[in-house]
Amino acid sequence: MNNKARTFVGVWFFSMIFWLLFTWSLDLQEVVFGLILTFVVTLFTYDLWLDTKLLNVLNPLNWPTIIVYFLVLLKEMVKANIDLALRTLNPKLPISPGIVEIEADFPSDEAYTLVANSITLTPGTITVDIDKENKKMYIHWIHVDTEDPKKGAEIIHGFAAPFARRLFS
Amino acid sequence: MDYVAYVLYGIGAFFNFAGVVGILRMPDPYCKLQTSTKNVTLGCISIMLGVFLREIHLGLLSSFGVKALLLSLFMLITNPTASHVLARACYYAGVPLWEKSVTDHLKSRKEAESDE
Repeated sequence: MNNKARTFVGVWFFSMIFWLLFTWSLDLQEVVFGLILTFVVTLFTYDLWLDTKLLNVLNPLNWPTIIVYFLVLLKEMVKANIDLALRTLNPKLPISPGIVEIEADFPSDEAYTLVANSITLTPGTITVDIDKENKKMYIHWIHVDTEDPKKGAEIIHGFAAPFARRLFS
Repeated sequence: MDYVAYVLYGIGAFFNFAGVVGILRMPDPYCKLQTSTKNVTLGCISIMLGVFLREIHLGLLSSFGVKALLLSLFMLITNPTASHVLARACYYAGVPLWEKSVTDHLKSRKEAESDE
């Protein structure tokens, strides 16, 4: 199978999984209608997935990585939220915000996306901009601990980087 | 299981409350985005998880629970993306940082771009 056909089947399969999860029934009518509907949706959208590595998530070899990633993400999120809620509800409002530059060297767009989203969900940081040519990320940090690009990178996306490299390289 | 679900609802409500307080108290749009994204995402996920656990005794085939989990997955993907876009748009539209902000490393890059 060439690349196009493989992407097409992959996207179709992916949307069918979501259809089945959403309807949550194996009734013949539902399944047949789902097949037709997801076929149409795939027909219009599969070219967005060409030459991306997003379909890596369908590979069973990657599933343990994904599960571990979600557990780590959940842990980090809970930590982040408690920290931020305490800052918010503290009458003194102990914040010292700023935009810092950190190093970010990842193999693909998908990896950048994953890391950027993880950053936004974890302690006091939001990705503002990404400079792929110079391999830099600009992060809004609610309590700036360090302005050094390397140390900042370790603190901010240290937990997500290995997963991104493994999944989307 | 019901009581675990209630605790999760409570946690969710608390974090959503903290998010709202954050929106009111934080000094500039970026900090407001911080609280609104993170606290509200975890708050909603916690509530969804509570729904899932309450429905689970009806058997996995009662469609509610799985849908709640799927919704939380979509929220996990779309919420940070949206806040990233908002932050970037704010910055390039020239919304200033709070005056007590410590650093702004992005400034030189923005100026270089506007010169071109």
